[in-house]
Amino acid sequence: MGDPVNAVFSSWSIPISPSVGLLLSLIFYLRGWLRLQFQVPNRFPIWRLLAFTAGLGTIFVAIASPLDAFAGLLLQIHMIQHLLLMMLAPPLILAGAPFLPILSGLPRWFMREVLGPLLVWKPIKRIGRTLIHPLFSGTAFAASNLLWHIPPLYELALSSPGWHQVEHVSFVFTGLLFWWPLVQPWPSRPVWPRWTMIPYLLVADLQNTALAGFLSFYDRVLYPSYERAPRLFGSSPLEEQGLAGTIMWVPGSIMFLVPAAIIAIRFLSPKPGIRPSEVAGIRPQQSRETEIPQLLRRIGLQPRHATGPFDLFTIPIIGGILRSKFFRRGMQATMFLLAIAIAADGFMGPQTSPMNLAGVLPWTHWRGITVIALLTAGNFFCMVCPFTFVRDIGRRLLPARWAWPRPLRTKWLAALLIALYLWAYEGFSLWNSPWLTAWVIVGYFLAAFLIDGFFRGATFCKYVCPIGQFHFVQSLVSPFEVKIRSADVCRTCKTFDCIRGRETQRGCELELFQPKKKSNFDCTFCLDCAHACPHDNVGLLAVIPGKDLWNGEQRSSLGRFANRLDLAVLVLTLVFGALVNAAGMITPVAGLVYQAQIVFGLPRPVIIAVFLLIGMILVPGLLVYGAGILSRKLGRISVPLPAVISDFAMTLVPLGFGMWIAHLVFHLFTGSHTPIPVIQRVANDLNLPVLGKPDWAIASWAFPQLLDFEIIILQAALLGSLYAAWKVARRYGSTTGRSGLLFAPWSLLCLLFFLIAIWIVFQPMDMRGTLIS
Amino acid sequence: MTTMRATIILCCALLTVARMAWADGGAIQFQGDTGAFRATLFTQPPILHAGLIDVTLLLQDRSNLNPLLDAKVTFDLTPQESNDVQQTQWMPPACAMNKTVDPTDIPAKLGHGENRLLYGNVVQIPASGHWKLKVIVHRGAETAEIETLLNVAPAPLPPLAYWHLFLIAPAGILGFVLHQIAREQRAKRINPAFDTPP
Repeated sequence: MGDPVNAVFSSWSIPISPSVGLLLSLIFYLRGWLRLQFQVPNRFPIWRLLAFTAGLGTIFVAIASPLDAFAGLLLQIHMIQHLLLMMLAPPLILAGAPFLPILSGLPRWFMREVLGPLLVWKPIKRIGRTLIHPLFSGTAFAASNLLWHIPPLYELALSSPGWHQVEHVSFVFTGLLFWWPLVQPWPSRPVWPRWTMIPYLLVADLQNTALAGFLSFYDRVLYPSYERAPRLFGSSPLEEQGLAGTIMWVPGSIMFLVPAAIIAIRFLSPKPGIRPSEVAGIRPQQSRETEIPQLLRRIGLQPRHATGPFDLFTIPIIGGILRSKFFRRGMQATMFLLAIAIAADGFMGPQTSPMNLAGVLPWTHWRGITVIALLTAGNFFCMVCPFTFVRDIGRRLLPARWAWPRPLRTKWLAALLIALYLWAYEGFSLWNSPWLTAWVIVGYFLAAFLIDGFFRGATFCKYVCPIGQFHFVQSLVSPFEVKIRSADVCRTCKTFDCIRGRETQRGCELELFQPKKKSNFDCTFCLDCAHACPHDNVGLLAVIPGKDLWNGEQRSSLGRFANRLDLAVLVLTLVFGALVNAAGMITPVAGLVYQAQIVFGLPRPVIIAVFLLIGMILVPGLLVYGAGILSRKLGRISVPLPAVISDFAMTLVPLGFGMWIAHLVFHLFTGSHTPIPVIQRVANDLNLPVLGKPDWAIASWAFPQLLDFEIIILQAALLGSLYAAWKVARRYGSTTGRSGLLFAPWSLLCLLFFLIAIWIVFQPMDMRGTLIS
Repeated sequence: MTTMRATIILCCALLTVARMAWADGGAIQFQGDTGAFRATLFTQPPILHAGLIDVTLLLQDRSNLNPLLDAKVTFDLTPQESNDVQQTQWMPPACAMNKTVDPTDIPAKLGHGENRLLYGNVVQIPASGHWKLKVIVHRGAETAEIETLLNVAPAPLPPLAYWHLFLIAPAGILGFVLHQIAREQRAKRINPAFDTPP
């Protein structure tokens, strides 16, 4: 059937993480090279790009081709792989002079805010200078080469994929260091005179020759793994070892001796008096002293005028679709019909949750997809919300003229509704009851219809809808925001159509005035403001996720976070709600709830109410209160306690969102295929057997590394929350030390939350919405 | 610009959904002749713990050592009497979805790993102890069986099994602290009276 030769040559596999790293390096290099090639073409000709690409390509071939697949079986193949990583890839990469192009290709804010201060920090500079000093780089290269060929270390790399990767990384890294003084990538300057590179290379060749000679002539097999390995091509292990030594010796020595010869010839050749480029009338290159500062300024190491953030509306076709009212209405209508179908199946279909649309789509898929959308883009669910459809019908049929009562114009009601929802979800096992789920949907439609039918504006969205509040809060860390493109345009605007609206287009119903809007909070992505703006000055712009969590600015319609305890309570409900919602599904907590039911003889809703009261209100309330008091005392600030709590509560948003993502994405993957047989069942119930009979033994996208993802996302969330808390502490603290003391209690709270979240994801979790549950 | 962002997002997405690439080979558990075949059986990781392991087989013609790629290979894993199989080891929560706990009659596939000469599959060992691994090979009219004993250690404690992932937060915090020091030193160099919030 199979041809072994074909099988050998088809033994390619793409290691995801290193390949992504190589691809990103190439993208950043290419982006920077294009800029620099335009600005200083003499420094960055096309061959540099080709050399850099070839260098990365060499690494890819070494780790993804059959060389890697057979390295564990054949020593000579392993030797070729190492030669590529040490001797070929590094000089090619350095020939691309990658330093400036990559820095230039990185996002400007990242260069300015993150990498810039580190690159100009003296200790880092000192480390960099040491690393590329020929004495260090030559020694490191030789040490790496020799150490990894000592049998115990070589065997370690052969037996452990992790150590094998460490070996490869050390080869590439020391290779880059070794070739640095030889290639001297621009704009670095040589430490030693050029002629010293001849002995530098000769010494390197000496150690290489000694090692290669030892491998070639040693009369026993050095590495036991190759002695035990199956014989593939008839040669003995000793012959293969000799061949590996020869490969190391001959091509290795060529790589050292050819550059040494070239340097020697150049050193001995007479120096030209006039540069050929100057004879040909080409503008001489700028001096290094004037050129480099200019370039550093251009790549963002020094402040410069920003070019403006990325705007989703500018993407061809996709931008147009997103802006289109027809698209939005169409999506809302589709979602509305889907909601009707779910409710109908919930009432009339089988009451086994994984066999019913109401049991799988709202609880597993919709929630999972929504958090992914929030994480990668923004509040796109509100954009296509099916309830908007009903709200608009309500406005046409009912008077819609009263103002929402002033005491209710806060988030207290929404926070209460979210707590009620979390209680009902667990207490009445909503996820396990299609019938109750259908009633929740109907109730929701009715509430949207009546509230917006009697009250003006988007009252339901702004003050009532718990789903909307969930999206508003989580979208604070989304990477896109509906935002003005240019403040100058708004300054000259006299009509304020974005909030007031025009005859044919209403303005923002949530009372967000675009020039003063600071985050995604309360924004439904309806784009009414974008359509109303006569200057086309509203876009869907890329922002730094979470940047609004720590600034204390005045916001349109919201005021300052510090003055909004109701917002803080809403946020805390969702943050700690994430924890208790996930905890309710793990075996230890579910067991505890069950035991409590038996011991106290109380119905499940009562036990769940107590559980939520403790886990979501009492304990978090005390912890937040304690953190607030402690931070005020330690930081010696006179700001009122509610203001401190309100400000710091916002910084917990990333952690809460991280927990929601980890939890809901877990369910999305474990129940990925559940709608397929349910849709087949619905079609059969409707006498439409075109989709075939439902097969309930379905596959799933669940994979063991799902837990890796959860751990990573929770750690990213922890870092996000800590960073936000630090920024708030810096705003309050008069000195760095004071800020540290202010920050300490909140950082401990974040850490505690993180540890509980990690404990939860390590527990066996109920596979809700699947037949396994 | 757009392409670059899209590619970065795609790369990040790939990175997050990247499955662990099963390594080929690993420790040799058996090597020898059986019937008309020479078989070499590998397991990865080399020191076996309860949980998921990678089992691969290189099948060669006994006479000329040519790799054989047209056989049907299955793995059977049975616990030895001394094992306490009731004490199932901890598994990542999602594992139960698509990995069978009954490790018998597991088909070994060509192209399972990067080395296309090897037959292999991922096998779940539910508990520690001694396990008998039987490999059954069918090729045309020929059939052969190999048996070897695996010594399986208990699964490491969950947090220990994932220790490398828990380095992200400390590394991030360390990077941030260094960044802040660098930033403040730079600011102090420019303005010696600097100690105000940004």
